[in-house]
Amino acid sequence: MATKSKTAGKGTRKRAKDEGREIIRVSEHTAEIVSDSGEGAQKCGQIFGAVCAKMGNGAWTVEIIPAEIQPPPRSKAGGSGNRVRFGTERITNWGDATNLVVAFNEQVLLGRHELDALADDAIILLENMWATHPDPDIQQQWKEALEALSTRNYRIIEVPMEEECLKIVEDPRRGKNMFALGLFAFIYDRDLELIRAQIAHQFRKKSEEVYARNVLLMEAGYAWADANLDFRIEIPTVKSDQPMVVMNGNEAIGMGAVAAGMELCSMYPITPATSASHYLSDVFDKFGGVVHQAEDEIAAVGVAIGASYAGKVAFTITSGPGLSLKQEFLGLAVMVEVPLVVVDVQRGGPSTGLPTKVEQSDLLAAMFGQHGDAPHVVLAPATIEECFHSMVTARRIAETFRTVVMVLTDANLATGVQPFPRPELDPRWQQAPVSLSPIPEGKPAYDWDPRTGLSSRRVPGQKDGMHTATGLAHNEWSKVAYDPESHERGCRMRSRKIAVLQHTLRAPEVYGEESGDLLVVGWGSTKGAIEEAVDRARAQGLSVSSCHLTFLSPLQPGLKEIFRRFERVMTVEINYSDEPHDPFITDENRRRAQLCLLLRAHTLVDVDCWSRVPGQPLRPGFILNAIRERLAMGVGV
Amino acid sequence: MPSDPRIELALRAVAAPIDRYRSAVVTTVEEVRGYLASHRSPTESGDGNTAARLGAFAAGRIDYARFATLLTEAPDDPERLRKVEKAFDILRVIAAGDEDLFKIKVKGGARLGAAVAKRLAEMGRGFAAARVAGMATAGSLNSGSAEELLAPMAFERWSAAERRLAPPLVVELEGADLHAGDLVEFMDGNVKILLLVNGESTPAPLAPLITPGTFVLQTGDDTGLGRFAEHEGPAVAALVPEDAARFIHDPARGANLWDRIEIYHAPEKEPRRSVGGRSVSQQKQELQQLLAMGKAPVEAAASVADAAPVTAVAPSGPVSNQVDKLAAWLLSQADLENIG
Repeated sequence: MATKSKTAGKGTRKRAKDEGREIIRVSEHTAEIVSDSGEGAQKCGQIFGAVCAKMGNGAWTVEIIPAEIQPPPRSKAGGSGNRVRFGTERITNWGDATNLVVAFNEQVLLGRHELDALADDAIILLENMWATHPDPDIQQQWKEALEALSTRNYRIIEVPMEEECLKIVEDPRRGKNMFALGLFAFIYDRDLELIRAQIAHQFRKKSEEVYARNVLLMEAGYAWADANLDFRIEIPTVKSDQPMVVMNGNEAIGMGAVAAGMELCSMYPITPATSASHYLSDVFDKFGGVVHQAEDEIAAVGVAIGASYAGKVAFTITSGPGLSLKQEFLGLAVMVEVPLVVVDVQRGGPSTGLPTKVEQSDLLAAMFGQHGDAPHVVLAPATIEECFHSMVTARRIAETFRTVVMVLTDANLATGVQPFPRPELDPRWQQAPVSLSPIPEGKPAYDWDPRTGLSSRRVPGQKDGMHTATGLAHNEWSKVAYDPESHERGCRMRSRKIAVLQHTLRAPEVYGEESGDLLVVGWGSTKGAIEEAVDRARAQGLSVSSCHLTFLSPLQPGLKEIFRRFERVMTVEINYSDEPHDPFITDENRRRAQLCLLLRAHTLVDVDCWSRVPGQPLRPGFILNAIRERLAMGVGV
Repeated sequence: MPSDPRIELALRAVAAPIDRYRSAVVTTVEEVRGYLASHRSPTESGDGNTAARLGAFAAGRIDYARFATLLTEAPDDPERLRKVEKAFDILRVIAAGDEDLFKIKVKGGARLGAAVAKRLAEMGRGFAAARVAGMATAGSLNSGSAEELLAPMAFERWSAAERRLAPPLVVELEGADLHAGDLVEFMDGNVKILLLVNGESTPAPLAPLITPGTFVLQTGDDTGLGRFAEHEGPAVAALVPEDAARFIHDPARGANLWDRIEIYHAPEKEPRRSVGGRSVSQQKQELQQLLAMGKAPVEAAASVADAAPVTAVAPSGPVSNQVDKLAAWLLSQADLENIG
């Protein structure tokens, strides 16, 4: 039953009739599917997102994941699914609100409604079996939910998904997702051959029968929509003139590791990092690599350090709690000057926190989590494409500087899917990591260049390179040395390397005008949302620019100079900060967002911050509101 | 295209091993290309090379000229570069080689072993080249002239890893020249040799090559060729004339010799004249040996019992084998029908 006929979407809306059906033309749309956990909504969304990208739409998908593995069914907090924002142009973030949603029950839908995730005029395709459910409580819940939903301008279309799926399968819980895929396919006029191919890919490890059944279900959804819906939504596709690939951030990290010539991924499973090692487990051995699942997080990093010490290219991957456990060993790697890449896929914390949800709250732990002085490199890719390429750069920096390089991604990048140009592989990425030339006579284990702190790498078995590796304070011969000069010198040399790396970095680019009233500074996965918010603000006549940092340790040069060109500087981050007007909060005791804290310390500029920890990516609209709010507070740093 | 349909069949059978070998060579070519790109040209060894090594993530973020000054590699000496360039040329020739690279025709009266050894040594130059490239990238390529390092490398000098990557060979020869002993030394690693036998041959020329880990096939058509190509280990096959035995010895089929051997055609006529210097008697023994190996102990023991004069001869095989046969014979003599 269609209650309204309005639809929404960004861009110019043109309407035309095609055989009595309304065709809504928009430049982009956000569609989502939401169900109870275990009903396959994520799979549906993944297939749909990949098909959109392969057809030539810009796309960005975000998984809707409950915090619990198996939350109670029909609960508002238990919704699981996928949100796909796609359009004619490149899409860089998940946007503000969903324009069309397929929901398997009214409770998960209500959850999305209460999170303000749906546009005011969203189209809702809702499973209607609950309206006539034998349980009167469920019928009552249905009525109450629809009443709550009626406060908005939604157009609700009831769909007999259960009834239709029962014509094909005995258990519709294992089929509704493909029926929903068929609904999407019809509504957005997607290429059915591409969808079938994507279904085949998704179920490549299952039997032909499973594939055929899923295709039948998808086709049934398509046919139902064709027979019952009075509208379609047209989003023009533009085929890229260069080959594109579609993947999520964890796959990009895994593929980047292969491309970078890495030989060992030593890990312990942890959400949301695990899927990267799952991906590598499937492909790594074909390229001579090994995935080692250690007995715990500490052992995992220990194995990686050992392999690297022996001359292999090793990395480890983890998330917040795992990073905490690895800290002592990371100090060892810095102390022994073993090259090591550490990928931290950030999630909500502290403690177990929000395992499946996004946060950017590991920055300070990544930089300063080790005891003593353990200078190392921290960088943060901002897009899924950068997840791939960052692994090549991380390896090269780790080996050139004989140090730890941490790559900070997050759950948003890890599970989001985005198309990007297929990387052109270069064999030089895979260059052998060590030289086995004999060590010239008289050369110590750490032949530190006093100017740069750099030294050439020694590996076991190298002629005349024998030494004892120790985490104890040591001199250049790697002999344990407690004298003041040796420790001072070792610390200075290790620190000098970071300064030297900073010397090779370029100042970050400013997005927008080079000066103005407000500069928004971000890092990591928020780039797309920040830049979209800046674009909207500028379109409204506001003098706003942004600057996105990828090197966080060392920070890129020139920041102070850039900041001085703006009246106000504000970081936007997904980690906690006190609001300036909260009770007891003063300028003196206010806990600021993590990058903000760093920037204040490094530049002595009074950098402000706006940060949130909703367990979701930031919406451009919310950032825009924050920009307006900060500008309304007046200018002046 | 090969005109002989057997050659076509043989090349199809070894297509997968050829692909594996080529893939390994192409990978090495790319690695060496990368090495040379970063060490050869003075213009390339500057910013462009640093940019390439750092990858796209560094673009606009790292000053390549400054970063390049930190790379501590010593400049390559010209002699070392020449060696690597020569290795690169060899690898490229092998990578670009067509299927003729994997075919040999042994001239009538020539030694099979010598022909195989020569071709494998030539292809071994690819491994030598890969070693040189590996030493160069590891910084340990210091001594030895290019000629010494990159000369044809005999199979006996191949490492275990190289033997696992061995290229397959299709060898066309006269049946009279097929002496299994010529191939014994090559039955290691993942070597695959497929023989196309012309003219008359002995009935079971490959039987002497049967060992627990070697796949041995005599066939008249494509029977067993798929398993031959897929076998993880050394394998030899021959497309033999109609009057020769046809059998498969597949190590994957079990621990017992008789489980591993499947004889699906035994010659009906006995050898009547010598072939390639092997007498009728020698050919008969070759065939008897094959048939004996293919029989389970009970049958073997029974046949031993039937031929009483032979049992009187002192056992010549391993003691354990004789004990097994004796046990099997005793078992065959027992009347088990009334038990239980």
